[in-house]
Amino acid sequence: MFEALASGLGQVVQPTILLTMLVGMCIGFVTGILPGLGGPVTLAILLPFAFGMDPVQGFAFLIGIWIVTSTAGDITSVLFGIPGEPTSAAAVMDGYPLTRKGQSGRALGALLTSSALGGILGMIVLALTITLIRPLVLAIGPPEFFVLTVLGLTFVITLAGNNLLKGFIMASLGLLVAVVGIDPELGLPRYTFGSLSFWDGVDIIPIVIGLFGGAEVLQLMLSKRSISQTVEPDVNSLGQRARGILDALKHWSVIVRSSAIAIVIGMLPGLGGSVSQWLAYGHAKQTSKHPERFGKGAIDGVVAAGATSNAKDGGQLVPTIAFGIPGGAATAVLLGGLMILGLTPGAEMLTVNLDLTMSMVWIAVFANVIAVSIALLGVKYLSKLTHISGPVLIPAIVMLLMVGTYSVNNDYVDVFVMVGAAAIGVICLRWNWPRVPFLLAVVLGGFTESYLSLSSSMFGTEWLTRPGVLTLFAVIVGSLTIGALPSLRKWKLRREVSQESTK
Amino acid sequence: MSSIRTTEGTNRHLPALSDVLIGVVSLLIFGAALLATLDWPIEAARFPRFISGIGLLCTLLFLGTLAFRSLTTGPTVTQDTEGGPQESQTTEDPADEESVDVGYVFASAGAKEWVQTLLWLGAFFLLTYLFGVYIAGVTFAFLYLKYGASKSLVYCLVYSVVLGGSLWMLFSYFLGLPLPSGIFDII
Repeated sequence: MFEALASGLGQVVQPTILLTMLVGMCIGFVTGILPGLGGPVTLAILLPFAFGMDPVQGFAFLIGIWIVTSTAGDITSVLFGIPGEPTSAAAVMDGYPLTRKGQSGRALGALLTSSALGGILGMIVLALTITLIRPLVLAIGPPEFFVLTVLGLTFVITLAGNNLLKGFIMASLGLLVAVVGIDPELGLPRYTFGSLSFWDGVDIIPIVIGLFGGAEVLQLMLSKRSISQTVEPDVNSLGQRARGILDALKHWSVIVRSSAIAIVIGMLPGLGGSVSQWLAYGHAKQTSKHPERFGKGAIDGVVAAGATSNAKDGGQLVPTIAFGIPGGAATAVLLGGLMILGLTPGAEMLTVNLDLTMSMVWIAVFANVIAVSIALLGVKYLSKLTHISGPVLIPAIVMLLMVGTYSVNNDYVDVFVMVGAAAIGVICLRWNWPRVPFLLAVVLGGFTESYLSLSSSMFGTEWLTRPGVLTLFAVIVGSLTIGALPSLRKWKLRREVSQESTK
Repeated sequence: MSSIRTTEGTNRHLPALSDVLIGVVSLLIFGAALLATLDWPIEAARFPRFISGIGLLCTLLFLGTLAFRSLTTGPTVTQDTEGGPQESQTTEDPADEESVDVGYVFASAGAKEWVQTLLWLGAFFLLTYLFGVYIAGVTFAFLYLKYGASKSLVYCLVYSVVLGGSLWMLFSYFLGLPLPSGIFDII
């Protein structure tokens, strides 16, 4: 394996390869910043350009694009509260409040550092496990996948904090949205209201854009102020960025744990980054010394969200390369890229072409480090955008939201979905209902239903006694118990005050 | 904004009207969703029926909790989050919280601001539907900057033309993506 690693490195450190990677990264950066145009779309559009390239050059181009879109998506989450990609939504939760406090430099410093470290960790795991992981991944069946989706939802429901019931209600609403479309078993339209546009279900991108971006546009229009509410000239100085980097390093254990979650979830085909970011975020909140700060600008929340954004890529590449089963939408397109480059995923990539697999690892590591270094240098200028008057930004943001939403399926219905999601986002923010359980339920609903259906048809009710399922159920119960503690404390406090007043 | 307060002088804790309304609307949604599943074969109805049932149950529990609390006598302690959601507040410096809280912006904006904002957005979506995103975007940018942000005529012209041009260059010229076209699209 070490020979393959060395050979892979030798193939990557070539001027043509590095230049191709930089071209891909530039394209990825621009499209990653635009809401709606994420990694999968960009990769799909640019896939034909890889035709005719040799494999390593093709990897450099495609992986360069892919890695940078995640990083760029995180930047818009922090600066504007609008996720550039669905996998960047968790970065909004604490990154954006820090920006509004004038600490965008600190938030981006922490986010980008954790993102780079998470990405490198992901690639190390990929390199070490790619030849060993096959039996482990094959041991996970539909029942475990089903319980994992429930675990994901549980983690996020506990983010609702004081009122778990609100979290459950929002998650149930999200699951209802997720089942819109053709039923997978009988092909029956469900909740489509007679519209053909809903037969394929509701796309996640308009929902993410509306839920976060729509609400943000409205508040900018209402307040007519800049995104950052402070006027100190040095808030984005080198000191702020350095503070953010130090924050990330100080929370190294959050990076390791969040990356581990992202890598493992990334390895499970289908679940992907939209789930892992919230699992990691929920876990970071539950294990934080100051969980009350989460959602209000907690730096460990930023670090957790950042670490997952690139760590998941290493995990997603494992099933893609080892079995030809893509871990997510972007890796599905990347799989097409492998075919175009004349490679066959599976045993060949783990034996005769192991050096090519390792070259992918090196390219991803280089792309991560270069992207984050350039972004850190550019933070000072990017952060200045948050001091521009809100009304001046509005026309550009509104146009981007509209174009980003429409370009998903070239259908106006997505625009209406985005507007509806924006209304839900505003209602949640105004009256203190949690948005995230709704969003994650929309993401997970389809998987939950199909894994439940598969589990029942394959194992009857016996799947409930599988060791993996029982272990995951125990984690769910523990997670709900921990999540219910704030409500119990509040109830106790209320009772004490009530008793004192009656004395 | 997240502070504990007591409602001295009152014997009843009234639940927030917003929570009751959202609860009732959710109840109606789950009820309708559950009813819709009754017409479907069991294979297609199983999962939607399960989740709408769970949703219905949680909403009933939620409304029941609100009702129980309102019947509880004695001063109550409430989490003061009206206009201050958990998700979007800030951190270590409580003094800054109100100014950076998105929920506070929504709560404190007057009816006039709301109507104006929604009219601007409604006009943009209507223009896009009628004339496509380029004409709508350029027109919206010009008018919003002129009358919503009080910018100079030259500023508005340059901004709107640059915005429209950049979008065309990026999406149509380089990426070749179809953009929203209107029913009277002339571009």
